[in-house]
Amino acid sequence: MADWKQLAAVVAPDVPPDQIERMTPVLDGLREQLDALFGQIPEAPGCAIVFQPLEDR
Amino acid sequence: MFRSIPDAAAALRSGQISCLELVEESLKRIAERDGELNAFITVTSDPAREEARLLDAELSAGRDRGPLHGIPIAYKDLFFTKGVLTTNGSKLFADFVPDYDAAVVEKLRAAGAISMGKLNMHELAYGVTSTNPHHGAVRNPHALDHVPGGSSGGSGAAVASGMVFMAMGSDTGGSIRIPASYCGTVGLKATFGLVSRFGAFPLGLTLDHMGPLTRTVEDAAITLEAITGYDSRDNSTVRRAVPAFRPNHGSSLKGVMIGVPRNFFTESVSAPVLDMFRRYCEESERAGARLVDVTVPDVAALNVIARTVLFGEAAAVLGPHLHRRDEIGEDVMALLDQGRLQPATDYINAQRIRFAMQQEWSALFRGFDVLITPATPITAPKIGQRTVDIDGKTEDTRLATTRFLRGINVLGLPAISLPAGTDGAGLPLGLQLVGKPYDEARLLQIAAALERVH
Repeated sequence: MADWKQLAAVVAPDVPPDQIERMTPVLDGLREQLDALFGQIPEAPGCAIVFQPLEDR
Repeated sequence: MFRSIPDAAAALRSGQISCLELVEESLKRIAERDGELNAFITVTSDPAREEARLLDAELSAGRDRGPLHGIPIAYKDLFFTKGVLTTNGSKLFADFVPDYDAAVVEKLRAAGAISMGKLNMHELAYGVTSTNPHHGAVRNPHALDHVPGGSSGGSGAAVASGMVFMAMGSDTGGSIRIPASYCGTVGLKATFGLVSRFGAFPLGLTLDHMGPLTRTVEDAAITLEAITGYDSRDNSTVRRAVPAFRPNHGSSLKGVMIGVPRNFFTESVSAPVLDMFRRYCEESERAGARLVDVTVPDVAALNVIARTVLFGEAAAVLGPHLHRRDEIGEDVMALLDQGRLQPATDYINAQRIRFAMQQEWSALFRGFDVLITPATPITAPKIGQRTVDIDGKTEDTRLATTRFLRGINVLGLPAISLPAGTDGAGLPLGLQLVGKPYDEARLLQIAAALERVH
């Protein structure tokens, strides 16, 4: 499981340690669900985030 | 007070009542009920009266702006209203007075609707109870110790209690449809991109939808006609002609194909909600609709994507303010902190898999016109209730409340919550219809027919 305290120390140092402890089960649970889901992303193009040039509006 | 916008509109044109008298009725109702409901943050009585006088003069001179001319409405306090305090339910914006109107405010003002003020909401729109730490809890008009839902709780309470005919809300993971379900009103979330979000405080950049809460389906349709349209200031809006959305009065359910899910939406549902759902399915069939049994794709997965996308977007949008963490409520701050710890790769992959899910649901919708589901698996919880028990299982209140709704925001599909009676304790029950993209006219037609059947 991720070390959320270590990560928070770098990206969100103002988050109190007890908050991180409370969030850990939620973050771990979501991490597990995401890992299972992301395994289903097809390799072939088509599952991209769409980017389009701005036409003249 | 009149039952609907067309009823009030007819009375205005027949001379039975004036715009000013309608505004005074609304103010009287606000004075009677808002002390206990706490639906409003700011009531704009004098500007409303001023506006009403001008609109009365217009009607007398033969200038008729349409069905919303002179109709009292209100706005969730995340819509910018020029010269009027706009707090987003938050201490962060406690003194913010915008110098321009949101796009929907511009359109509704042009349509002649009269703003009675700004409505209380869940802080920063990031929650489902509207128990606001800075402005106080909004209370459910049907039971004062219960939540009205959120985040557009003030909107639900104001419409349900008759203070206004229509209240604008926003819906990122159910925030129009939840208060509609819990307060017994109609709540409409149109297809993503149909209604401009310019001038509304954002939360989920690819999840936010703006829409009305009303007493009737026709009122929601009237409002949608007024607020829909391409807006170059909001790059998520689409260039499409705005069709007529108001349902025909004679519409029926004959031949309508209604998808009935046999999984997910009938699991972990309270008994009164399940009874209501079954009853509506049966009565729809008796009224001529054809029920199509459907196995829906993985909605739990949709909900995981919803949380991941929203975590990243909300934390990014509110990032500049997070050093003021002591001024943000605990529940909202916890969600924002979680978002800050989420890697960008999670957000990107969530958006990629979102497209695959959209394709799956698009294929499903080829088999029917609308999908019918309960709006919420429970009726309104009590204020302060963190967990609910459904069928012997304990669930977090927020996750239960959003379970049937937030996935629809991931898909961007139009959805409406309809009042569907009450449970044994008098708490409203809500029914959801989900339509195909840009098929609001048909969705509203079917919703209106369902409204009449019961």
